[in-house]
Amino acid sequence: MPETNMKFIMEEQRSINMAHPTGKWAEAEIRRDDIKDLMEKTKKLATMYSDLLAIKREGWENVLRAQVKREAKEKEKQNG
Amino acid sequence: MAEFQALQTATAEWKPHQIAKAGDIASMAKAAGDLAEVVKETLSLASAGMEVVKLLAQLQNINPLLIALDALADEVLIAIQNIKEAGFWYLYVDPYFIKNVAAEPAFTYGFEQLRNPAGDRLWMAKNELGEFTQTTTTPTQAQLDAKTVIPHLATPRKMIPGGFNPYEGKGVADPLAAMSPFPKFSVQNVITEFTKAFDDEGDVPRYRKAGSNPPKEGVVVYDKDGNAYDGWNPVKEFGLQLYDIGKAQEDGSIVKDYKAARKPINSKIAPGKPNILGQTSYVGGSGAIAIIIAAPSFDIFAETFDKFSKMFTDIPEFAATTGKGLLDSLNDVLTPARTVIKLSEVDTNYGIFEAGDVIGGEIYGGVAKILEVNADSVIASTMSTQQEVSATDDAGNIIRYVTTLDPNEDERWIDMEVVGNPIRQVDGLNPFITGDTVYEMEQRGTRTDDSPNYVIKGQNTVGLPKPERIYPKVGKVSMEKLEVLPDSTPPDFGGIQIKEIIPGWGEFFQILENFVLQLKGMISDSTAFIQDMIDMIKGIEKFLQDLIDAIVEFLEFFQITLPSTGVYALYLPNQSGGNDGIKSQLSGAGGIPDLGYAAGILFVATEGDVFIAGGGSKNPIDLLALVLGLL
Repeated sequence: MPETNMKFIMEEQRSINMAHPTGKWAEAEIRRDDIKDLMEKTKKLATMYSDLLAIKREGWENVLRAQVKREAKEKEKQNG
Repeated sequence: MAEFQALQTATAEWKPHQIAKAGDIASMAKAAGDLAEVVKETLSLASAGMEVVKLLAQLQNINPLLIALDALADEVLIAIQNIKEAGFWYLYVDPYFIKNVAAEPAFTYGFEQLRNPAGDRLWMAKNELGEFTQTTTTPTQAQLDAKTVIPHLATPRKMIPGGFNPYEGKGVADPLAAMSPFPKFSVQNVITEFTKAFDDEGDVPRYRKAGSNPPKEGVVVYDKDGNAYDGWNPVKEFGLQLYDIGKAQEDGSIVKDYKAARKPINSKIAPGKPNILGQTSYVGGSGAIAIIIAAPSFDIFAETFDKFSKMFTDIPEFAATTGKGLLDSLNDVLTPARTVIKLSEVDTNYGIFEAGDVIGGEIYGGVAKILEVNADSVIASTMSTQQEVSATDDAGNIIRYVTTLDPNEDERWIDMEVVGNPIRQVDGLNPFITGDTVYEMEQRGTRTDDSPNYVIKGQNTVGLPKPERIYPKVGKVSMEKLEVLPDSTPPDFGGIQIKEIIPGWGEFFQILENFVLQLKGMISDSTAFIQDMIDMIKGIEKFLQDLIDAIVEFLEFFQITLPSTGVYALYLPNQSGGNDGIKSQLSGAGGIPDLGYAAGILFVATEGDVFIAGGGSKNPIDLLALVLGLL
């Protein structure tokens, strides 16, 4: 079978304009992206801050353990 | 009917608005900002704090996290800034909840015309013998005018909403087909209100003197840009924000920033319609977004309107704290509160009222379906009458005396108390007035919303011989009292209130503040202090988790988009025609059907001097279009 050499050429990619028409009434799916955006960012902030706090907590717990150990050792030393 | 009269003075007014500046959404935005600020502050202290714990292996990984957190906190603050810097005017048109415009009752009064069980009107048509016979065939206006067909009117004659209109040319169309029990306010009415609001000459911004020591009359005063004005009088109202000249010197040197040195001498008491520096007839950049919620039936309208209001609780009219919710208010229209009606002289010869019966007041038009009869309340009616009795004694003397009789000795008439569900009539919810006669009702056709049209049972048989007549149950109203609110009927309109999902915001930030203070004062390395610190961090971690859970729930709520069916938007981007330009575009825009039940909100913003939201527009309306999903 002879090759046809046919190719599909995409000259232009059309995008569907989803924006609301201007100057004309149209049904709309109203959103509140401002509030969603703010809340999503706040959520992320709270999550990351929690992570940071967890690291800090672990750090302090280590410090506390070391401190307790040190104090115990010092006590032992004092008691001879 | 009173509810319609109450609406006659209602007007929709322009109000100023900044997104997320009111209600629960504003408190959430503030809380998010507080969190970001606190996080930023603790981060600056973090490195100091971490000095103590630098033995930690984690420390080497923590710097990128701190940098990312700092950037994120900035983003939150910018997001808040963006949604707060945009100022709007908004005009809210609501005939049903706030009722700032008057909805029209959709009916006219006329003579009650008999109907067959299917609801078709009955007519009397003249036959070839000149006799009138009953028919359901709707006559032509010519037949009515020639009186060859006449309406079969109820006996005795009664004026009712949607009755036969005897005026020429009015009698052919069936009023029942156009009647609705809910007051109507159409899409076109809303658009008319929108455009009308631009024409109100008196709706200009008004400022009244502020402070206890304003400049004296005649002193030169200044606007926000420093332009001088004479004619100041502290007892008069003016149309723009004014300032005094301000301090000439500060700390021994000439004031460089006159804006910081001056003091406002009046404050806004009314925002007026959209304006630039108080000029309502400006020619300049302005844009608008109009949203109309509209539906052909009231229940769909109520549902959509309720969802809309929940998404916009930053608009004061929708704020959850305003008391009765929107849906409660609409439900009052849809499902009125039950009522207890005390009936007297119920004639048992015609039957006793029972659950399921529909009763209606003869004169005042109250209609209700009986839900239950209070069994304990059924007693014989107390009736008494006096009768003169003559007695003749043996001597022939006639003695007359008056005796009291009980005409209800056989207990033919009884008293009873019934619990009824009021049925809305086209002229509103009519009460049961003491003394009115109540009859058993029957259905004759339906109204536009498919709700039944009730008439007195057997009224079609009034003219017939006695054996063929149908008599309704009958009684008299002795009293009506409101009963408890009804249980909500499914589907229940659920929903969350923001204030319910963010309990304890205030306490949370108090904890964080204390945390920061403690970090600042952290010098001690005592075991007790470290334990306190660990406990506090655990507390904050738990609180942050609660906060995240609340935000997740909140976001789930906001994931909903309003159903596009029933919500119409018109976006008028920034244009140079000022208020007049918006007005003409508003009235000229097509693409919206004229549905019967509608309410709407119109946002208008004027072009500013600077680009906002870091974007390519100087008009906040474009920012609003973006966040509402219109761009």
